[in-house]
Amino acid sequence: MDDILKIGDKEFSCRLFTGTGKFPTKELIPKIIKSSGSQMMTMALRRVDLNMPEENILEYIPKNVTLLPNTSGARNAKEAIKIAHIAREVGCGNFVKIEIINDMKYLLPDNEETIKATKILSKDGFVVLPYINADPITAKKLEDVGAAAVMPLGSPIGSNQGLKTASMIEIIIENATVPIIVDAGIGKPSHAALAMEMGADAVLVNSAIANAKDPKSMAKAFSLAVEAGREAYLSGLNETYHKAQASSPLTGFLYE
Amino acid sequence: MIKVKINGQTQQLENNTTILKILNEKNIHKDSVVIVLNDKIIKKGDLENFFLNDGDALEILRFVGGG
Repeated sequence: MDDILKIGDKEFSCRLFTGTGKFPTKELIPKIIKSSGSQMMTMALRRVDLNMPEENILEYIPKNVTLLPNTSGARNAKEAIKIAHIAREVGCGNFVKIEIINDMKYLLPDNEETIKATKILSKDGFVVLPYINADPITAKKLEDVGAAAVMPLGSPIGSNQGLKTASMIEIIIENATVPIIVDAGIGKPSHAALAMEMGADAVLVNSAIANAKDPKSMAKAFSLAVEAGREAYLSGLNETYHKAQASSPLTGFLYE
Repeated sequence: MIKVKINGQTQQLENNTTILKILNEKNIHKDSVVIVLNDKIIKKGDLENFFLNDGDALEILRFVGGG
């Protein structure tokens, strides 16, 4: 049976979404798409450094990959909305990741401004994927104002700490009526598998792949972990016990 | 001469400078950037037709790697 993830008008058969930041060379980007099967990638909009122009990242993203421009750099809803409109007008499609950050140490998102931006952009026809601190109340409010999915963080961006917010993510998943995508802080494939075992619909990984010694293999490892976690979740995970639950019968022993 | 803000920096430009001229001077290909002039996106085809005026705010943007 196909286990397709629907977000907006798109369907995804791969539940690993990837970022394009921090790669040592941009040529790795199509390679990690090939090795992982990831079907959606994030990118950022920035001023060109006129003294040292960087390349356009879009040239490296395969055509069949859904573009998910983020609003990084935005400090409030107004700035995020501006970035979203620019991205759509230049042909990036109508998917947008709301990323509103004022905290430069932990890069924690501003949940309040994110709700404001989500409300306006979803009314304006965007498929909004807001990135938030893992607060179940915020997640519910975002659903109410039209978010197509909700993206709670596992731990600070690039920290590799994994699912520090696990208990909150569990509650978010329990209450969710839209897909939940764990984004940020996922440092190992086992973190990604755990998120999927918990019932997350997808994960977004950037730093852990880009910073790996071999990003191509790491992307594949993450993809396999996401598949394993999802399969486990669908198969019905067992509860945890304090006492042992014998695997071999406790009767009929040879030596009584 | 006119004063135009380009990516936040005020610069002195000659009268009758087009956006395309600025891109060409900086060796920036128009297809690789997004141009926003006074908060309005300028289409690629219009870049040579847009003459900058004193006090304009020009943003030359590009998509870069990001998470």
